[in-house]
Amino acid sequence: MSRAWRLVTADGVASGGAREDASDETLVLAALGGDEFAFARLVRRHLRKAMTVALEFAGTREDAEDMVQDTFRRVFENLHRFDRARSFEPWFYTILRNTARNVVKGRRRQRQEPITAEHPSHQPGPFENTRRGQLRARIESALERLPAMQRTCFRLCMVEGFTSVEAAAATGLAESTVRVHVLRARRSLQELLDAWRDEVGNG
Amino acid sequence: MTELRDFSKVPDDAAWWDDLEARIMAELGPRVRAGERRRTEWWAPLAHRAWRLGGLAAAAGLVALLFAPARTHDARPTARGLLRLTTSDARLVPFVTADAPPPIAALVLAPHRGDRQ
Repeated sequence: MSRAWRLVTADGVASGGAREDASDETLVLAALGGDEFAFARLVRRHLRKAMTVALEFAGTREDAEDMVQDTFRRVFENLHRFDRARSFEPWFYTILRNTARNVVKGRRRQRQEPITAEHPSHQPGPFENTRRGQLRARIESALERLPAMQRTCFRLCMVEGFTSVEAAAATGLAESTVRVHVLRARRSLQELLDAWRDEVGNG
Repeated sequence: MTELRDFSKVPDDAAWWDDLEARIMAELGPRVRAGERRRTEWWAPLAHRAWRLGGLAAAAGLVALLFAPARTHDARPTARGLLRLTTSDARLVPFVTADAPPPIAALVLAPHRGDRQ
């Protein structure tokens, strides 16, 4: 497996003039001209966030990996259709969401069961016998009980560190909608945790 | 809320990220280098304007339909034109094309081609 592109990118300069701080749109143009390093930089720049979003849609890490790989394949194959007058990220996440939808549909068809069944039921481990472990289990259970889009927005913004603009691009929602989802999710979690604290305090 | 980071599903292992990145680039790197793209049809660049172009084509068709009857009427052969096809004698034309028929005398007295010979 050739990793020459990684050695070149390490010094901050890639061939074709695609510098570390080059915009996504510049990298797209360079990649269209056959600049592998520019494309590698695009992949590196968006890989982590793409995986984070894919994990929200996928039941397992393996499915999320497939989604991300498929997404970059489609991005490459449609790069010439990208309108460089627009921002790269929303276009990228649209492809990711469509890929995710197809993967989820495919899995459902294969298994003939809803995707939610892919989440393994939570079994308490030894760690969860402690107070902290119990809190963690409570939060995870409360997160699972949130409506899907509230949970996704909350996880992206509060757990994974996305800005509301990034989360909006990732989910295809308006930024204001993302904020509302996060706010509602926080309130719901707060209520659940308050109830639990009372319960533990009384017990 | 700082502990919420503990709930991240995203792997922390740097080697895992390197491996995923390498797998993606191993597949796509050579294709980028080769300048390979999915074969596109000639109309592909117009595809995102399909609705607008379709509307324009429909409007053009409508305009053509509106103007078509007028063009057909203009192209209809006239009585004068028909007569020219059947005779080369210009003196007969008024008898066919005049609004009112000429008096019979005019017909009788009209000079005949044979008279001149």
